[in-house]
Amino acid sequence: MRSVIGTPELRPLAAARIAFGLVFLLRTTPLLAIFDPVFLRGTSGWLGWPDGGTHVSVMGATLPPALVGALVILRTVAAIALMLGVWTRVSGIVAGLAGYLVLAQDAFGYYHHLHMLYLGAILFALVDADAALALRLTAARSGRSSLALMRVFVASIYLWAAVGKLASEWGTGAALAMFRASGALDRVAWFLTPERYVAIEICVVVIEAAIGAGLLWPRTRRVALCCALALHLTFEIIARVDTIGWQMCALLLVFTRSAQPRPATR
Amino acid sequence: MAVRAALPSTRRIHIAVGLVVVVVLPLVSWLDGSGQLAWTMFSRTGRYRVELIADGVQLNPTEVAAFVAPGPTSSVLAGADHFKHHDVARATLRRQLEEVAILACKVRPGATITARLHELVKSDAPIRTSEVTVRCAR
Repeated sequence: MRSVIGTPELRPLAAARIAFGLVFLLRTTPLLAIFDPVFLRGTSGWLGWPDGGTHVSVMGATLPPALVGALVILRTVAAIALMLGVWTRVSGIVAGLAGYLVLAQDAFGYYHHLHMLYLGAILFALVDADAALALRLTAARSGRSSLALMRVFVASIYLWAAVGKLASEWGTGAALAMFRASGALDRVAWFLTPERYVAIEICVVVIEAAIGAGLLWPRTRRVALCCALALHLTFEIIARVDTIGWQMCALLLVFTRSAQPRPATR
Repeated sequence: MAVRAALPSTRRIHIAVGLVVVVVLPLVSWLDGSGQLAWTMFSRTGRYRVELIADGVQLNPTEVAAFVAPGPTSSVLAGADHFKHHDVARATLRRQLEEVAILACKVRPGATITARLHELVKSDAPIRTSEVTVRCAR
């Protein structure tokens, strides 16, 4: 068992890798097709699989359909290896790069959560994510900086999200009015009155900024973690947010702590 | 399994990678006006409208959307003769406007296509227009 569990202090990082790899597979393959999620509707389920149609590629980098199909297969195999912890340092980079190459075949297919998925896979390859809970364990090279890198990356997502909203029209009521008009918030339309728009928008920005900052300090980490989970659960219930919430919840595992080893008993 | 002493080079790589993914990438994409790598999901309220003209005659973007396979490109162009709310699409269209004009060539081979993008970054911002013209092969 020890040969799979590995370095105890890096278990949170490894758990995040497993969860993130699983979400990667759920988003890019038809595994969830029987549940008919919105993001799989009208597709083969294999994200980016050549469909014979015309697309606008990024910077004219159009690849032959056979090569794109091969990249989709390679991305899937690499994501499985990343999740299981097999040659993680290679598989994470392959999954991420293959993902970006497939994504580049349709410039309008870019979504923030896909960038997060592929960048996240590459980051898991660069840190000691395979020093614990992996089928093929590797000795940790720099456990502290590995954890720190992933934690700062996750916290920065919340902070940049808050900055983006502050620089846009959040806080004026215009953003929620627009999202409501687009039908994205139909489930809570009864609650969203124009008088409440400004207050809700300010609350969201403050909470995101507080989570980002709170995750970085050990004293506030637990509260920030609970707030982050509550925030994603709320977004999941009220809006169509694809798999962003799942990805963030997987990444948030890097902030958990593995159980302290029990003192030896006689 | 013992944790090896942190190799200085590994730590340095982590710091460098951290600076790139946490600061440089988001900042660069922020400065180019798209914010696509700056985690601006659901932050921006940008809107866009696409105008296509083939040999002086209006061509509805929905017609081009119908020509391409169902998917993101089709969704972005369908109904784009009126302002649509999608900030990522707005920023992508600005970069790929020439490719959109070339796409329209498939619907009107041999024509001269002018593609205009009208952007509304914020509700109270002035409309910004960019334009490209391509001559389509027969």
